[in-house]
Amino acid sequence: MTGSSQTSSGVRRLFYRSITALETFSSSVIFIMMFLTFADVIGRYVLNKPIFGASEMISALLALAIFSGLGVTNARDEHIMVELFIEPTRKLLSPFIYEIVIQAFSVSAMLLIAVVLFEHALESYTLNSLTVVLELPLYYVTGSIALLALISVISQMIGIYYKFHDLRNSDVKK
Amino acid sequence: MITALLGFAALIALCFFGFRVGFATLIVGFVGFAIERGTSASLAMVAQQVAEDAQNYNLSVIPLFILMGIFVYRSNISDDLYDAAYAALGRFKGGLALATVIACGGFSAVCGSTLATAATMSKVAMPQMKGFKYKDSLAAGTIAAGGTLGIMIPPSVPLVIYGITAEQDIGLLFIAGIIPGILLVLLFLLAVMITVYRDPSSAPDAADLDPVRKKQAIRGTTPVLVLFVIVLGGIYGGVFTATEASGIGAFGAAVIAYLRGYLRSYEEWRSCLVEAAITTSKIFIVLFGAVVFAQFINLSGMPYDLLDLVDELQMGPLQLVAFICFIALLMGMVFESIGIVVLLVPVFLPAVSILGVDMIWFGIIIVLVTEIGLITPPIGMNAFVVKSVLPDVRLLDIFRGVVPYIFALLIGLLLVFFFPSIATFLPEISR
Repeated sequence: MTGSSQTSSGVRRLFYRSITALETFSSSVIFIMMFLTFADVIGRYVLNKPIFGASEMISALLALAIFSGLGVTNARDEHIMVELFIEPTRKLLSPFIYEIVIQAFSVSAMLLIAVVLFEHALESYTLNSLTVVLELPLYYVTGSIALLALISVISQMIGIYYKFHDLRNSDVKK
Repeated sequence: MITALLGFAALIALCFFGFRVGFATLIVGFVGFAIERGTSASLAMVAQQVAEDAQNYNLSVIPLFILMGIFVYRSNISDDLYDAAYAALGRFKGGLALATVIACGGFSAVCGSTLATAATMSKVAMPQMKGFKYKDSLAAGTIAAGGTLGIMIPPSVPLVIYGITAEQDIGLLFIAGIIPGILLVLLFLLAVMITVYRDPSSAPDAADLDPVRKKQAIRGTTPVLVLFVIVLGGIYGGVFTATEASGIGAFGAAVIAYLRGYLRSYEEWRSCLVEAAITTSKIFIVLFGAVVFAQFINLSGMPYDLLDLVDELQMGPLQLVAFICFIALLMGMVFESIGIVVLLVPVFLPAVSILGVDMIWFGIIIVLVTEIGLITPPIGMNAFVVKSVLPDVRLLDIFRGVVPYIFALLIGLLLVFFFPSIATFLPEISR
């Protein structure tokens, strides 16, 4: 194995490990969400003692679950699409150009989300906004989801790089 | 109006060329809004919509019901559900197909995924039907169509999405889906009977189920039915909200899966939770795109122009809803259910609500129409899923097999359309 291919496989390994870490994070968040919702219901209706600020915590967990999950979905490009005309279009443009156009569009959209979320987080930090019930700084949540959105853009770009890499290798083999 | 129409044209073109639906709606909405109001206003709008929806407490029903479905799916309940239905209906002519309808309805209701139902039932029901020499078109068509039943039977993600888009009570929507869901199951059973009556050779007689297996199946399905009753009964009785019900449902499904011998290792838990997180993110990116697109459509004035048009054409509420159904049916040939709901509802919302249409009933109608799209060509996702699991069955046979069920769905649609109380009766009582 050459030095460059060793580095390449090392980077790929690191990428997969990062995705695994994101998976673990998102799964933990969903688990906590489930448990918290259940415990709040039991506390509210059985013990007459709901968890203070549960709905606020669940809302924050939802945002974290979405954006950590997006990191994984983006890396694997598993988004919902209409498949009817994909193959004819791919053949018309060549698979490589087609993928470049599609993926560049997806990255732009995700980047837009990340940028606006960062601006939103910055605004809540500057205004020192607090959550209604727990009175926690709002930027804890908005900043975290902005960061996760940025991570998901990065994972998306690396995922695309490997997709192109594999596409080129399969072309070479043909 | 022109900008909005151009936006729609651009969006449909992007989706057809394979751009990811969520990203396409988001970018078209952002650009359209920017054209109307400027880039900084559009950026602020995207930030507000995405941040608000990502932290919307009511939307936490989506990951939790998805998780409930995954736990039920992973606990291999499908075999027991099928056998329980087989035990009840196996002795009738076409009994295995009848059992498939019931099992599909039950499984898709708790699992929440039409595609997972079609895939699972292809593995569970098809070998049995093949064994008794059922025709491929009847067997595969029943599985493909049966998988769609879960869209109407609560808890249903498209109903949640409709509730959020149209600002309707999700609990009431779930309750409203119960009778139409049961009605569709009955119509599907009728479709099987008519098919078998017309072509008796399509469903030869099957042997009765072994009594031991019968008992096992009934014992195996009971906990899931109890959970289903708790979740829906809790919402219906006003004991808890849809979000709370989703937490109870997910936790209860985890307990059932554990008792059935699943979820005993970290890896099993992790894979279920990861699947829930990924599915959630996929749905939310479409939702983000939809709310941004809806802002653009509202700003363009299209919904109000449509209102003027409706007024000019002197359309009544039923005519308008029929027109929307027609568009939804066309969209259903290409788009999946969530896409149709998020694109169509914001556009027609003002016109529909000003004409005094019951928004709960309208939600049921729209979701029912999207259900038809799951089995109609050229996309008919469920048919393709069955084909992918059963490569020996011809796609043509599957599409031929779903024809009676398309008629059943259309009859169901007409019944709910002309007798709205089918959908509104239970919500009115619970109000």
